[in-house]
Amino acid sequence: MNQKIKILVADDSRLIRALLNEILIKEGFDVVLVNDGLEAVEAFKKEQPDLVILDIMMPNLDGIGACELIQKELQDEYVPIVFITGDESEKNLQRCLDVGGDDFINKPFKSIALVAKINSLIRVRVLYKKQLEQKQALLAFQTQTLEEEEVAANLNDNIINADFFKLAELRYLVSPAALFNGDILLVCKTPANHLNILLGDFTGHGLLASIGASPAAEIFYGMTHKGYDINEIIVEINQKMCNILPVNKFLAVTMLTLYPDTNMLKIIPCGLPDHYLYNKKTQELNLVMSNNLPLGILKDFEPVHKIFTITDDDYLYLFTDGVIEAENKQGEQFDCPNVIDCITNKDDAYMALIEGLNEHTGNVQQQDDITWAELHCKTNDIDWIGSSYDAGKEALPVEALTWKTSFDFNIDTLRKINPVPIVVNNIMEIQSLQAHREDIFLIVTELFSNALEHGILSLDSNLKVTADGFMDYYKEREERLASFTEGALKISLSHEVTAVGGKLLIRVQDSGKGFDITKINNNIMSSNMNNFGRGIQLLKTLCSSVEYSGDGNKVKAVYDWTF
Amino acid sequence: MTVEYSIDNGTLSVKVAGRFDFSVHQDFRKMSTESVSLNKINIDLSRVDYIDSSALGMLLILRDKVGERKEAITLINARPEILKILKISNFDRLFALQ
Repeated sequence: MNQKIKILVADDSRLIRALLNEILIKEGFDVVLVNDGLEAVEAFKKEQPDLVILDIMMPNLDGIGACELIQKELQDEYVPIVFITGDESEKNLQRCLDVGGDDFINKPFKSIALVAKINSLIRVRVLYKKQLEQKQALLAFQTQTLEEEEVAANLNDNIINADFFKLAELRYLVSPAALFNGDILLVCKTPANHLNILLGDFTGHGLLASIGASPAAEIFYGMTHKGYDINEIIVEINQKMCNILPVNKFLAVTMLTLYPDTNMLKIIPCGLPDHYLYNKKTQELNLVMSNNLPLGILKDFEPVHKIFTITDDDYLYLFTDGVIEAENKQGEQFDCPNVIDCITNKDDAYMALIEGLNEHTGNVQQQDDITWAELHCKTNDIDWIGSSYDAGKEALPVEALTWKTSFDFNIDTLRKINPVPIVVNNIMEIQSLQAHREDIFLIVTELFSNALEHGILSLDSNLKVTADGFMDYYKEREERLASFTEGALKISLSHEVTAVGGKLLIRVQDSGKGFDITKINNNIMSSNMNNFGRGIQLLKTLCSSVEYSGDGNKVKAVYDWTF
Repeated sequence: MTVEYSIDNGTLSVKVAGRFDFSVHQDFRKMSTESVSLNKINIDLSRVDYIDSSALGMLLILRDKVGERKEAITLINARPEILKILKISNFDRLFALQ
């Protein structure tokens, strides 16, 4: 011990005090001597001794009374108290124990026995003190860790949910098994008014599982804002996960895009349990099974997507395995038949699933993160289309500039990349037009799709008249894009200053055969849009003018904007 | 849950029984450090009645050890419910299933 052990001795006999003083000092203890019980209590408060020796019979306050008062002073501490007694009757000793005494020394006492007793009691005190210190250190550590974790979890949630796009058509339940969630649900609107959703489940749960969540979220929101396709986004997230996750960790995920303008749903399921697409009217239930590897395993990842045609009666149910595998008291899983029953037989499947799951698990401790979502695949009269995903962000003042640039893409490049976000992002970088981003994105998309599909790939719009045709059309588009060896496309942009703002000219020229431009130009003039679809009509509403020229393989769109 | 394994002529044969989850982590870690010079791993799953994603992660560690050839690791005799989990994750693309 670094510090000397201090012993308080209270006895009204000067002889005993002197004797004890001599023995204890010889043993190397610090000694404090007092004459009675009252003095003993005072000295105890002031000196904080490690051990107290009390005579029972003392004036003013006896040893028993002093012991009681001293015990009241003690909180978590342990200070042994030894009584000096000349009366060895059981009744007397019992009184000493009752008030919290630890041991007795009988008068007359032998020095060696006294020292042995005191040393052993001191050892107990030291042990007790050490244990208390460790306990306090652990408690402090636990409190600090908890606080840090809470802050970190909060920060993590903020990053992941910063751009979360809320809409009435999506109802979801997110229930982490620990403070950190290994499941993620990300929702974001694209500049083309499509809806991107990502539901993911990292291996395991808790802190380790949630580490990959914020990089995944950043890629998802960043690329969705810029208008990249989910096929491109998922490849990017996979790449990131391969780079940052340990070999045995991966991300099971489903990404989807809802296209309200074409009544289409594109899904890329990668390792999550079956999802269900249920039509409430026809009661048709479509299984959406995973057909891709989870992310973060193979660097070379080529996502295979599924396309569904949807109506306002379609509901999509997405799950992580926490739902299917939620166990009850008997260790039985909630399982698919229960899920299907809730979806197909209940008026409000969302509530039915919540109740069903609660009933099943009872008060069993949740083993895994549970996340699921119901998306009403409504394509008509939806509120979220109009709402801006940039709401709240103040637009900076824009200065109109004069500039020109152009891009050339050949068929090999077009197979690999989607030029639209690249072109639009370039426009945004040169001429900051964030407030017009959605319009410009739509215009470039329409011009590009027309040039690629009808120009280079010679696809016939008439195919798209029926729902089945729609699917065939996109299948054919994929096949031709993969197999064609010839084709190129040029996108030229120029911008000039006007009195009230700016004028953006977008020209697209393709290597295709073209078509009879009188027909389409007349159509534009007369608004007679039979088979040439919504695309051109849309262009017409957004642009000041849209003009086809040459053999129909050149188009010029003019977009005027004001400050 | 038990894990038995033997190494013969560059082939590691593993037999897992019961729940194939995080609890066999230690055994797998040991195996994957021993199996430096392996060219083939056979994992018998016939007595596995449960598998979770941490087990899938352990399979990926073994795959990492023997090189990323599909034929390097064979998963043998998985029960239908186990096979379903492997197929949901499309692990049939990474491992030979028998």
